[in-house]
Amino acid sequence: MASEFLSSIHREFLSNIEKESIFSHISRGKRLDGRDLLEMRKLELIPNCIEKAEGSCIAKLGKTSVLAGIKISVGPPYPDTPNQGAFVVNMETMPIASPSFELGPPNEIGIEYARVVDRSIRSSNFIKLEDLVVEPEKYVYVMFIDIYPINDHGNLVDAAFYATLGALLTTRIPKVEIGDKGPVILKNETKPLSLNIELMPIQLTYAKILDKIVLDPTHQEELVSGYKLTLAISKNDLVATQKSGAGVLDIDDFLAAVRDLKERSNLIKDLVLKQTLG
Amino acid sequence: MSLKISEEEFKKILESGKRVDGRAFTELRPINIRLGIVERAEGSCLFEMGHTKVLCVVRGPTECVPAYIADPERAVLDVAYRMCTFSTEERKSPTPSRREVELSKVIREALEPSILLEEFPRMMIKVYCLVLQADAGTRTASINAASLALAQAGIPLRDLVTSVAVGYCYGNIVVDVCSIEDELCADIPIAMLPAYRKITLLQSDHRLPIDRLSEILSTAIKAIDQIYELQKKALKEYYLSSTKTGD
Repeated sequence: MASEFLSSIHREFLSNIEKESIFSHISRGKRLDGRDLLEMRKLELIPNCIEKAEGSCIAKLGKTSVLAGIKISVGPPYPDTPNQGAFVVNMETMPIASPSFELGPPNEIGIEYARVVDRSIRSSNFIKLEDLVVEPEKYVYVMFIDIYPINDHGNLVDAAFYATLGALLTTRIPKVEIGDKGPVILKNETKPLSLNIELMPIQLTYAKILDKIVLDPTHQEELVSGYKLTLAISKNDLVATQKSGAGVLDIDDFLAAVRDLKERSNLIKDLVLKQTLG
Repeated sequence: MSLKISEEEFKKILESGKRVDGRAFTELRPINIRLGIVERAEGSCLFEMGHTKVLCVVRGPTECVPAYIADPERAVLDVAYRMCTFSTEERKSPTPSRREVELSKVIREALEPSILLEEFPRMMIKVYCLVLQADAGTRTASINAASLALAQAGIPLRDLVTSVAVGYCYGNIVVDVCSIEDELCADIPIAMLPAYRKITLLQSDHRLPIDRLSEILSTAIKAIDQIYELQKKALKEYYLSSTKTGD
């Protein structure tokens, strides 16, 4: 019996004519949707779309859209970080976004993408976790970041990342008082989540198709790609790398992708801040 | 093993040009490889790297179950990475964690390019990696073990897959991180098809200066070449000893 996660994923097919048409465009340096190889689709963020969530955002990357929401509770800190708040990233994979998803616990892809987004955010130190302490060593804020893909037209992992970023940028932390029976959350008194804006990570995904590298692959491009490479940078450092897919990667392609991301990061950062904080 | 050390002490040791466990920066931990140790499996390998111990078993090519996931053009590769409950300091729950699910996927994708899956349409090849003891580098040890088990099972391969984790500690690049280094520095697991110079696994999740990336990768490749030689030697020794016993 195959491991449960392999059998939970439907295999998707692309007709040969679609495949060949993607290949012939890419070999000429163009893509089916008219983009250049290293051109991203339009990124659009719609923050504060769920009033009951402490933070929320829809991210659209062309036709791909993802909703992220944040709920906050108070609990004991992790034993190894007694003076830091905590956060957890989870991504559901309901059949809403793609016919290849099924009902049930998150599939392998949902788990991988949630963990990649978590690493991009966590290792950049974007969230000031030391400011999320209610009572040192006893109570800290715990943020649950849950991601729901709405439409998978390719590159869900980046859409999930920007939805998370948008939600974090607009999250409001409720005040907490310690009563006799433990902590009480005061929903009406809130303040913005404290963030290191200058360390804000920027994540992009590249895909290898034929001998070319394309940025922000569509759903069809993902099906014919050898591998996808998700990278995140913060200031001048690479903070997350994930090669996904069974293709082989050349060192020079990796280094070129890092350089490309570095060149684009400031522009994307400005776009994200403008669309969320105004 | 469970030696605790402060960050200052750790830095001081690095400044003296050594590592917490006494190794030089580019020195691997002792590697011990045993092949064919599970009699009921087509391929098996116990791979030890320092205190890390991984047992890997290969079954197949066999019938694809469930049948609907069979691929008419190639074999399906199924990989499961699991940790023993007693492999870590604190008992690990036997239910597969999200980490184990992700690692099963990246290990599968690291091995897949090496296997001639197209030789076995509609079939399935199964790889099971069990971490007996975890002391950093369990995914890289699993890949090294799995590739050898596949070779021992007689499954046609383009090349072995060889893997190592390099660390970036306070400006120093170290090879084959141990658990203390894993906690305090960035570790970058890499797997390659050494004969083709192609990368099949690459992950990172700490701050790494962009201008040091190329140096980090070339350090990793040197270590991979060393492990590759040990893998080939283990395979040769296994075949020589199994022919010696006759039949």
